Amino acid sequence: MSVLYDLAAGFQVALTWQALLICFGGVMLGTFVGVLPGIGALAAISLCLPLTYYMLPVHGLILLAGIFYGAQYGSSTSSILLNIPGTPAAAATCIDGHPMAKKGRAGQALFIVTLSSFFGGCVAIMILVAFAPPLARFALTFGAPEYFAVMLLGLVAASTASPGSPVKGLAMMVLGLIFGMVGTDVTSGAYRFTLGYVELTDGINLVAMAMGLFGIGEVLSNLAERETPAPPRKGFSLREMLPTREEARSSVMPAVRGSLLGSWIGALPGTGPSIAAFIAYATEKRISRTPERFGTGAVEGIAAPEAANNASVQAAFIPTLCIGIPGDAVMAFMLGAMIIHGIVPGPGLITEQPDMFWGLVASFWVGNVLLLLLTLPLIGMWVRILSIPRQVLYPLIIFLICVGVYSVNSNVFDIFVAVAFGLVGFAMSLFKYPVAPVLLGYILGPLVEENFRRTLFISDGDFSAFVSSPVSITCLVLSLVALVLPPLLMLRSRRLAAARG
Amino acid sequence: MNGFLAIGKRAELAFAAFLFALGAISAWNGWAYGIGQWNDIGPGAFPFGLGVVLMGLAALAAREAGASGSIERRLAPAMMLLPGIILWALLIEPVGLIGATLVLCLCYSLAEERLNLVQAALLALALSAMGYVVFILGFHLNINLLGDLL
Repeated sequence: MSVLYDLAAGFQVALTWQALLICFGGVMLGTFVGVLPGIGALAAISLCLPLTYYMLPVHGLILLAGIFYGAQYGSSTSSILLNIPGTPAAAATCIDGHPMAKKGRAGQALFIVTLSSFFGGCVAIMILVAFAPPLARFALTFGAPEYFAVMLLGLVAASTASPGSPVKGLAMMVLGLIFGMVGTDVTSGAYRFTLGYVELTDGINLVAMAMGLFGIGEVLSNLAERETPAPPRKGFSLREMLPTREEARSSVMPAVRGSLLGSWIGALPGTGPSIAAFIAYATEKRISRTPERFGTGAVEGIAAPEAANNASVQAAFIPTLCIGIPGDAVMAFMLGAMIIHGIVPGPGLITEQPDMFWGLVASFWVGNVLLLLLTLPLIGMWVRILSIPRQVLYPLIIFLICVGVYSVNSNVFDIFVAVAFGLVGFAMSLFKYPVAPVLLGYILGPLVEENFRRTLFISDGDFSAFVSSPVSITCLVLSLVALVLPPLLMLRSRRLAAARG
Repeated sequence: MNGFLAIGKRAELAFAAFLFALGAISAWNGWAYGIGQWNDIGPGAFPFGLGVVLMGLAALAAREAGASGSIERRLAPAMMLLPGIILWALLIEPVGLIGATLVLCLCYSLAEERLNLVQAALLALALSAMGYVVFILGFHLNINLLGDLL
C-alpha cells in the first residue's frame, strides 16, 4: 500500500500545471524529433539540457524523459510512411509497417502502433513501480566491488550489443572512458589531458560533447546522404485509421508479449529499445503459424516491436534510478543530467527524494496518456512535419546547438569542443562506429575508475575483493560472456556462410 | 561542389589510425601521470590501461576496414557548415546573435543549393527573432542581439 501512497504523492507533483506543461512540451518535442528521420532523441535531449537549468530538477527530468519516450512514439510514423525509421528503435516497424502503407493501410498501421506503444509503456511503468523499491533496497547493500562489476557489465554489454562490429563498439566505449578521464583526478587532484586549458579542468562539458556527437554529427551525416523520399501530402482522419476487427484481434497478444519482453530487456544493462523491438519481432515471427506473412504487412509485426520498444524505454529507468547505473547512452545522459542538478541517482533516491522519484514515475503515465491523445488526432500535423525542407530544418538545429552549448557557461570554448566532437561523430557514422558507447563510457568512466581504485585501496591491493560477493561474481562472469559471445557467434555465422558457399 | 565522393578502405584505415594515435597519447600521458601501486593506484593507471586497450582495439578495427565496401557521401556541406559554426562562436560576443547567425546561415547556403543568399539572410533573421524571444526574453540568457556593437 505504501507504493500506492507514494505514487499518489508522485501524481501530486506530476499533475501541477507547470509539470503538465513541461511534460506536454517534452512529449511533443520528442514526437517531433522521433518523426523526423535522422534526428535522434539524444540530440533533442542534449539540446534541452541547458534549458533545464532554469527549472526545478524534477521538471527538468520530466522534460528530458518526455522527449525520450515521445521520440519512440513518433519514430514509427516515418517507418510506416517512408520506410525510414525515425530512430533506430523503429527499424523493426519498417519491415511490416511500410508494406501495410503500400497496401493503403498506413492509417491502420499508425493506429495500431500508437495503441501498442501506449500499452507497452503502461506495462513497463507498472513493472517499474512494482520492482523499483525492492531493487533499490537490494542495491543499498552494494559496495565498491559490486558497483564496479555492474558498471563493467553495462559498459561491455552496451558496446558489444550495439549494431555492427563488437570490436568497434568496444573501441568507442574505451574512447568514451578516456574522454571521461579528462579533467581533475578526484583522488589525487592531478590534472589529466587538460592540454593547458582551464576550461577542461572540470572535464569535457557533457552538453558540448553530446551535442557535438549526436547533434552536429547527425546533421553532418544527414547532409552527406542522399535525399529521403517524399512523404504523403496529407494525413488521415480518425475514421480512416480504425483497424478492422481482425486486425485489432491479431495485434492484442503480440502487444502483450512485446510489452513483457520489452520491460524485461529494457531493464537489462546494455540493451535498449532497438534490441527489444527486434527480439519481439523475431519472437512473433517464430511463434506465428503463418510466418510467411511477416514482411508483407502483418499487424503482429508492428504491434509487438512497438510495444516492446516503448516498454523498454520506460523499463530502462529501473537500473538508472534504483542503482544509479544507466543501461544505455540516453540513460547515461539522464544520469549526467541528474548529477548536474545535484541529484544522486541510486538506491537512496527513492527514500531521500521520494517526490523526485515518484513525481517522475507519475509523469511517465501522464506523458503516455498525453501521447495517446496527441498522436492520433494530430497525425496530419506529424505527417506534415516530414515535409519540412532540410534547408530550414538543419540551420535551425545547428542554431539551437550553438545557442544551447554557448548558454551553459557563456563560453565559446565549448562550441569548439562541440565542433571537434561533431567531426568525430561524423567520421564514426561514415565508418559505422556506434556513437552511443562513447557517451556511456564518458559518463561511467569516472565512476568505474573511482570504484575500481576504492576496491583495491580498501582491500590493500587484493584483487580477490572483486569476486567477494555473488553480485560482483555474476556481473563479472556476464561481462566475460558479453565480451566473448559476439565474436564466437560472428565466427560461427562466417563458418556457416562459408560452408553454404 | 555538391558531388558525391567514394569513401573506402583507405579513409577507414585513417580513422582507425587516428584512434590508435589517441590510444597511444593516452597511454603515454598515463605513464607520465604515474601508475602508482595496486593498493594506491596513481592518476595515470587508468589512462595508461585504457590507452593500451584502445590501441589494440583500433588495430583490430583496422583489420575490418573496407569490409562493407565503399560508400558515397557528399562532404562539401559538412566542410561548409563546420566553419559556419566556428564563425558563429567567434562572432557571438563581438557582433551578437544577429550577425553571428547571419554568417552561419550564409555558410550553410554555400553548401545547400536550395538556399540562396537572400533566403539565408531571411532565415537568419527569423532564427535570431526566435532566439531573442526564447532565449533572451524567455530564459534571460546572457546573449546580446548586437554584441559589443551596442
